[in-house]
Amino acid sequence: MRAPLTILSLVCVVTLPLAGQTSVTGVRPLSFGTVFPGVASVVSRTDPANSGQFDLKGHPGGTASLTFLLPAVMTGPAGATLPLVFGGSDGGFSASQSINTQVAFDPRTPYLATFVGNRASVFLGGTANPSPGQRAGSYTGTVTLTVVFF
Amino acid sequence: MYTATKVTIIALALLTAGVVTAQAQNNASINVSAAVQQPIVVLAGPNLTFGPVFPGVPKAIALGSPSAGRFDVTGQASAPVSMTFVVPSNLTFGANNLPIASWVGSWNGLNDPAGSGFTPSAGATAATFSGTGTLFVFVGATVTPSVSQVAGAYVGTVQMTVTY
Amino acid sequence: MPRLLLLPLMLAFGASAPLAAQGVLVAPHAIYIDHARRSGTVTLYNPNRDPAEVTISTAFGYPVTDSLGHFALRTVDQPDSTLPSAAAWVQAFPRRLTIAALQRQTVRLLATPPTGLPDGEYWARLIISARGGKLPVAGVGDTAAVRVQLNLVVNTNIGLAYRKGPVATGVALSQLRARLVGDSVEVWSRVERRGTAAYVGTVRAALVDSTGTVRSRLSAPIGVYFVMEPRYALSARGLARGRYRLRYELVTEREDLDPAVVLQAAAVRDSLEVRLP
Repeated sequence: MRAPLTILSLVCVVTLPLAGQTSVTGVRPLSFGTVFPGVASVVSRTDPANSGQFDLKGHPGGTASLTFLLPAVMTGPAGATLPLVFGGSDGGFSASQSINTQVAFDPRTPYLATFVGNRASVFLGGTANPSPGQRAGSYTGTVTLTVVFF
Repeated sequence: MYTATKVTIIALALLTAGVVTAQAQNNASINVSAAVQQPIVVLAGPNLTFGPVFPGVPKAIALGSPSAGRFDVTGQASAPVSMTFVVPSNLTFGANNLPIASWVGSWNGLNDPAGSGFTPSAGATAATFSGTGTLFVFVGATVTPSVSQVAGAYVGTVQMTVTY
Repeated sequence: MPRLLLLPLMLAFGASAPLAAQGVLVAPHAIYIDHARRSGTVTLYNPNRDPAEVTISTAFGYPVTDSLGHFALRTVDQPDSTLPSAAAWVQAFPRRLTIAALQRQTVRLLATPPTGLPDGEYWARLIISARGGKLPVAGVGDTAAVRVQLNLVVNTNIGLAYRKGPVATGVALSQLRARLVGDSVEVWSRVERRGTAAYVGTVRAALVDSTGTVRSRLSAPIGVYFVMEPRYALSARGLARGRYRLRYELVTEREDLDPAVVLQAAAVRDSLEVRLP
């Protein structure tokens, strides 16, 4: 009788659902602050105050696919739009959750990340390109990160 | 129900649950934001350049001269502004004075000195930004060295205020 | 023959060549502080290759128009209690700073209003004074005995408004008149502020022909603090002889200001007939 119980225990350990052990949380918005018409504004992914940040919880040694949904514009007063550009190294993955030890990646394409511990962070920079006639006011947009844990 | 059957059912249930969740997907969002502010910029452009000056020979720089001074102002299209100046009447080198006077000015929405004339002074001069938010201010003056003007370093201060 | 004076002299309004500049960028160009937070910011950016020394001060003043309909700033050195001045109790931190080349600096504005300040809007002027480094001289002969230095100070004077409690604004429009001067139609009006806050908006004028087509238009920002009689010029160049309708309105719309700070008020409009000979 004990043998079947032992087998059952092993099965339970192997087949516990992953969903309860993984998560992604938005920690810090990507903030361009004050920008001037006609003057591009760049936020580096290593900017500790203004870069976007997500914290991940996963499995030590596990992998995860990171996919960003990036806005092309921010929207402002009277429907005005402010163009955004994300470059090939504007994404950063840190297995140690340190902004100073990131591996750069292109946030425009899916990125396969590997966990070391069970926590990691993803950082995001970008460029805002206000036109010379950009209307004054506050502009906002949304960045979504989808993580598939394997 | 036999215990063995119960265990089997439980095991099968757990197995099924495990297969369904071999991959877990999560997503989260953050905001991205910016605040656009319309600035006003007052920059000094080309120098008012007198070049070589001879004792006893006044030298004037007209507004249309490539040696005239220029300020470039950028702001809201068609907005009115007021300008005032504090200009020296002498440039000084120790106790030596080099008179400078007959200040002349003009403003234009284009980079063209043939605009609206004025005399740079403490009195306010009204101007208007162009439809593209530009304003160019041109300045000229005349220096009058004496026949015994001492060579040396002559210093002066020009102050321009743009009120928006 | 006059002795050749080896005194090439240049009054420099900037570095010699290549073209450099003095002055800083100031944004926003109008500051609004509410009583709840009692603080605001202004961003300064130095676009020059040299550091800029900046000092910030406050004064009291408000826009008016002169007899020619031009805008001017009326300043009052010692505003009494009848004038809504915030100049004495708004301070900039820092008040003196050096901004490195191509760098920006945020200056905080802190308000410490007197106890019991009544609700309303209070005004000040913020003066940002920028002084560049020593200006090099062009055209100077190669001699150590001849040096010229010109100090340039560029001042930017912008408005500041402090709002306590509920405030409202509006404007009354009267005495609309127009006349042809050269190839322009001069438009005059009298605008008088209503409410407890300055009217900040846009003047729009248009010449409309008998078919209803707009033939000339003008749009300009305006701030009415008390009473003004502004003059505008609408181009009439190339317009055919005949009757036109001048449409004139003031609206609380501004593209150069954050909509969150622009108080809304009903548009005011008037029109009159203009004949072009």
